[in-house]
Amino acid sequence: MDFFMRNILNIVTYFPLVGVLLIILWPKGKEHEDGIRWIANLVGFIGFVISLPLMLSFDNPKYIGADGMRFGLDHEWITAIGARYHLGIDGISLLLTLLTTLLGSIAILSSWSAIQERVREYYCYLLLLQTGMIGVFVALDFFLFYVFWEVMLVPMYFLIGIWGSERRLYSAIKFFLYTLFGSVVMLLGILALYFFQHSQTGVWSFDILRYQRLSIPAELQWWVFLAFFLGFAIKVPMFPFHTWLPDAHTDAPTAASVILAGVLLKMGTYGFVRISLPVLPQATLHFLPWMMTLCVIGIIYGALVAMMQKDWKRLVAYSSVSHLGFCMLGVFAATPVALQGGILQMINHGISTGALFLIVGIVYERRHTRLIAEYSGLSHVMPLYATVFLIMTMSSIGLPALNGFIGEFMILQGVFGDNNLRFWAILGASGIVLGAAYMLWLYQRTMFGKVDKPENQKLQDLNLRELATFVPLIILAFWIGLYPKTFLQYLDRPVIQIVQRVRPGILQGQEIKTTAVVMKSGQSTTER
Amino acid sequence: MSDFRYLLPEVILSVVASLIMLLSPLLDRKDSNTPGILSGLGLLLATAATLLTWRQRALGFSGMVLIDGFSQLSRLLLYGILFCVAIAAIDFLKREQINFGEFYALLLFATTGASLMVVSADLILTFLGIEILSIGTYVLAGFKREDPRCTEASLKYFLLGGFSTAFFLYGVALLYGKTTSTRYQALATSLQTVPDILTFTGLTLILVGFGFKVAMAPFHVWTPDVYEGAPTPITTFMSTGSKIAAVLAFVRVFYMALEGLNKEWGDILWVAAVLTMFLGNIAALSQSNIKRLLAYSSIAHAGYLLIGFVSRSRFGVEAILFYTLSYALMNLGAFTVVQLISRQGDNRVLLHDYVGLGTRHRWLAVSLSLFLFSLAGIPATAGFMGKLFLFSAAAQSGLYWLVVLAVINSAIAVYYYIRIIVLMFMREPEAKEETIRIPLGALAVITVAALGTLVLGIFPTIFMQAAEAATVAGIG
Repeated sequence: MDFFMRNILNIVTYFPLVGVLLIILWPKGKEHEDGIRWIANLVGFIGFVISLPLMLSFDNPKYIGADGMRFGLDHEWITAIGARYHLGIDGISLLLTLLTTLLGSIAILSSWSAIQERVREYYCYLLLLQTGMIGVFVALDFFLFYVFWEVMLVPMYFLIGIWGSERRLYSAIKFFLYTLFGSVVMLLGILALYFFQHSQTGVWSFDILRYQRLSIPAELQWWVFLAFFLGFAIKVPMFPFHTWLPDAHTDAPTAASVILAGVLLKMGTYGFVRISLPVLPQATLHFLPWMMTLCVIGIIYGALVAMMQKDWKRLVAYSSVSHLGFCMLGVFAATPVALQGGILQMINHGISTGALFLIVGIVYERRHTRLIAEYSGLSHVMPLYATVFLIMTMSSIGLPALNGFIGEFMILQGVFGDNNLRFWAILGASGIVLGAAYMLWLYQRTMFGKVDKPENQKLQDLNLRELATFVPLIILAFWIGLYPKTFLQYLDRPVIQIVQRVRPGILQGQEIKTTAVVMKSGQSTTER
Repeated sequence: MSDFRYLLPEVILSVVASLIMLLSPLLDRKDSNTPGILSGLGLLLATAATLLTWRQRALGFSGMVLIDGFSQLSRLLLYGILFCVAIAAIDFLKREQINFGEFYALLLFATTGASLMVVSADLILTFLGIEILSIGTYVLAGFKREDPRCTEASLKYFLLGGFSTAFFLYGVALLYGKTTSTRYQALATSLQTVPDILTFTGLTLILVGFGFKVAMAPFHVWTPDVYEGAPTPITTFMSTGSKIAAVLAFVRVFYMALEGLNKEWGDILWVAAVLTMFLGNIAALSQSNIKRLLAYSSIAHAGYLLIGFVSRSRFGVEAILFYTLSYALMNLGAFTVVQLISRQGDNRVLLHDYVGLGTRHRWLAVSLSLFLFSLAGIPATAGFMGKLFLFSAAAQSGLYWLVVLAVINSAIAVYYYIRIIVLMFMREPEAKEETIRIPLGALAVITVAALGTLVLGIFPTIFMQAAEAATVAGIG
């Protein structure tokens, strides 16, 4: 047990590869495909279960490293350049890792009947993707981070390119080239930091924690920030780098969309939180007005474009642009509450948008069309489906008692609390109104009214497997909505650390306020 | 006489090559494996001979030959590559009905030349090595006599190659005129100061000679035509063995003999590197023949390698060594797959012939994708680590703009590599194709190359340590 806990990050990260191996060795033939499905689902589910101890033993002093990171692993790797195999998690990566294992297993479950061709390869790619994504969140060595970051592109590219819909080739290549371009520019930034770090300390190292302690001259920060910005902003995606997202999302198979929206985009926001902000605090402040402007444009533009979509999936994709604008607004404001809200909103977006993509996927599988106009009155034929959709719509538009509300409220509250940023909070808030508009309108058009298409008369409601993909998401949506403290408590300490780096001045005056506001988060922030 | 022990591997290779020449008239030309097996044995023996003297450091033949960590590692690399080329070629030759012993004999002679290039400590011996390597390759490039593309490739390579070695020799002559020596060490001690016009011209001419061999722009124009026309195993050999031998000799000459002029050649190579990368990558974007595409890609990779030269540091040389190995692995793998897919007649080499390969020959397609990802520089592959080392070496020497340009180039390159993968996996094959029989030799080469690409990509330290030791021994 102790061995398990000490190596838990390795085990959680590489467990999906066990599944890949089993699937490759599984006997060939159409009649054995169900076996492959079972293996993939079991591996996905076990992967989720073994990631739970991360949360349960998070505060066990045995596994807390000197640097405050939990379950740390640190081995020599590439001695020639000083890259180390360094893993470890804090509260932020904990939540994102759990989100990944959960959404990963849900995505696998959701593909049972949707994928009928080249099943073996499909599940291999899904599981490989899983390893890559977890790796990004647990890596503490910048080089290792980059390796996972890039490796993960490959399976996603195949998932979109092989199992996607009509324009899959175009979308897959666009996705790959866009993100790859961003990442190679990011690599330049990493190298710049790497050499600067060496000139300061005389040690060759890619250690992110080490970078976070550097004081870097303003001009270098400026350049590196721009390099990282390109890498992360394309991934998030922030306006104006979002154009790959609607295409990729629309053409990806359902499971890939879920992962793409739920986890992949979070890698960009995570990059900002983990690296840009704490490593380059001055540049962050310097670019803050620009970033806030891009976020607000993203929020409003994404929402307006979503409203005009005729394609159900594209609508959800554009809503992602808008919602991630919110996340980034909170992150860049870098006040404790806003940042905490921004991070929580990443999780929320994963839950609600992940579910919305599943919802589209279910009717797409039955009708093979995503046009909104093709559906109406579905609540009459698919009552259970309509209920699930309703809950997730509400979660997405931020109805109180559901998760979206907590995130959006904290972000806006945090941004508004800063006198200089108030203006952006007001603009950003309009996005909520627009969000309600397009989501409710979508709901109205598809669920209410008469069933005018004969094909829609006999649509099957959710079956047990499909329902099972939603249950955990619904539970989480309510859980975060009603008692966010369970999750927020993990964010207090890392958030305070980041804010201390970026805006040390803000903490003195706000500390008491923070604790009061962090939605009944109870304990004082300093204590954790 | 005792100095011959330093050249034992080369002696073995030429003896085995002559033996094959003598034997081949006696053998059944259709399906004799003997020449192939003999050449493989010869290479193994040469490898063993190298390993026997592994830790030696000696100057032989009154200073013409230098055995040290660098030349030993280079020898091993070359023999390894040639071994793979030879065993992958066995089935090719039978398939094309050109199963002549001369093929292997010439291959071994070429290897001898390559091997001499890397152990040489004298420009004259380097020249001889280049010539021995080249003459073998000229003949091999036209080995399918009745095929006009082959003959064209051979002639083109011969004319331009002859031209370039003449340049090289002229450069040597000029340097000799200046310093009255062709020994690396003597050159290094006399060429310390700012060069006069004589030295500078000599340096430039030698650069042209090497530039041609490694396909450096603007001396790269022969590459696509020759790579396309030559029989695929020979293309493999040219893009790996002969190119790597040239790169290693290039390192040796420029870091040992011409070290004092590194300001001058550094500046020239800076421009050449940028030009080579851009010309290679941009031209590769619009190719429809995979051999031409890989030829342009290999030009671009020569550009990346030149970055290591421009850094003018020990780390730069280590990076070059690492890159040569990763480059060899991925190109060996890729070209061997191409060779299998080209089928009878060696002419199914259009990108179009790769449509739907992923469904018909999954493992060929998967391994080719791995090699292409590695060439593109996606992490967890050898190609990525190699590029990373080269770029960091350049950044360490303060060449930030060069790194930026190189990174832009790697981003451009991804497009054309990915295009092939798209064709293989994301398009349905149009017609029923007969399945390809995968011979054992080729399968082994592909497997080794694939494993090597992954292992070097994840645990680069394994080879990086050897590269470090070799660099310390060879360059100091």
